[in-house]
Amino acid sequence: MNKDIYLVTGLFTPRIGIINENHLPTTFNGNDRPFVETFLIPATWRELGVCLYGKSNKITGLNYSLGLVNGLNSGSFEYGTGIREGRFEGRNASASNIAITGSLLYYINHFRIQASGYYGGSAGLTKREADSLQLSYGAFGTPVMLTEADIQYNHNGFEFRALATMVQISEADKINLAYANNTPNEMIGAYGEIGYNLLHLFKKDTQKNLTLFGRYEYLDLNYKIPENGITNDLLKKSFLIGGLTYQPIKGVTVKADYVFRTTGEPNPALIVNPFPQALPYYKTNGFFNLGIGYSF
Amino acid sequence: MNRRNFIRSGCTFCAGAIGAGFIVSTMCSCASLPIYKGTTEQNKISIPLSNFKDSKILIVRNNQMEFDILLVKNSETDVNALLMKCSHQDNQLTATKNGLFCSAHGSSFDLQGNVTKEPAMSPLSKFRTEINNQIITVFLK
Repeated sequence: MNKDIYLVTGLFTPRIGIINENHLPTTFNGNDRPFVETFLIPATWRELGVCLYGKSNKITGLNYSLGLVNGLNSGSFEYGTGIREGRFEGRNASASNIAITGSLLYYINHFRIQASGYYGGSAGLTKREADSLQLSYGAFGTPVMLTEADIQYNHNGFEFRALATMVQISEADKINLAYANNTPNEMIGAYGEIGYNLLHLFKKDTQKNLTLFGRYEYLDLNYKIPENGITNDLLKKSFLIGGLTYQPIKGVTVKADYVFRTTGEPNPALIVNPFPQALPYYKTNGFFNLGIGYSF
Repeated sequence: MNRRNFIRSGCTFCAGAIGAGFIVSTMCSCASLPIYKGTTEQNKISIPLSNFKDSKILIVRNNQMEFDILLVKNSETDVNALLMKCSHQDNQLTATKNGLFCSAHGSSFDLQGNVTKEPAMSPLSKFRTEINNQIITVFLK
């Protein structure tokens, strides 16, 4: 539109969180993307719509976005994966409800600070179908709200990033009545990560990267549940991740990490047909991961 | 209100107030970057050196060009001219005193145009510059 504002239409990734727009394996530490940005912010989250992006000439470093996208489908929500399976991602988009998404992004003194939000309907049905399932119909019927704030710092080989997010589904009880998928009212999650490029110790302007990093994540996928929901401490998870990221050249990365996962006790009421020889559930587990990634 | 709630809400309020104050103060102290609106003549843009009075960087805007140019004054005789177009997917860049940033995919560049953060892998396009009689000339071709 001009040198400060542009418009994106079609299938695009809204500016929500860190990973959604910036998801190539060479841009984050660890083999797995942050779990908070997998289960709470369902990155990579593409939707059909239109979005205005711009930057301010009055305040250096301030960027913004405001978009209108196709909504979610609460009928596809799967227990334990948040709203992830409710994404249309362009395929078979019903356009029977819509969502608004917006962000403020500010660059200052090697910091990148962002806040973003999403509010949209999730009935994903025609009026007749929604009425028969007693779901709220309309542009924002059966709403889902996601709010998020994050901060990143990069300078002199040191990097830091942190993110906190919350998903609210105010009519989760109606979704449970319609689909019995144990949808929660609220889900929360946050993580913090620090890393340092060890090669920076030997050469300040190195183009190679050998980052030692550590990350802690906490998420609760049934932070608040409706009256007809069933709580499960299994969905309260924390992850402690440590590892190395090596980039011999730009666009290529070799990763090694260890993930220590802790969860709550599973609710036996949710095991409908218990298997007599079922193995015991361990609340803590460790995983070694090795991987190679590239971008092109 | 019990003691625990009072301490919790008090600390939350104080942290919020300090955070908001920090953000407002840093935003106020960060003046907008100067923008010079120039015209092209024979694929050249001329910019008076006096535009660098208050800042060592200057955005040059020209209606005939799709992207702005960032001039970076390294010394009295050396000025970089960087095209503010991300080398990853051609998005507009945001310039600050510390570098150039792509808000779309997170790439960043230093004030010499080198990549400091991927996904971009190539440096920014540069234009040749000359300084004569206090005038900077940027050669667009």
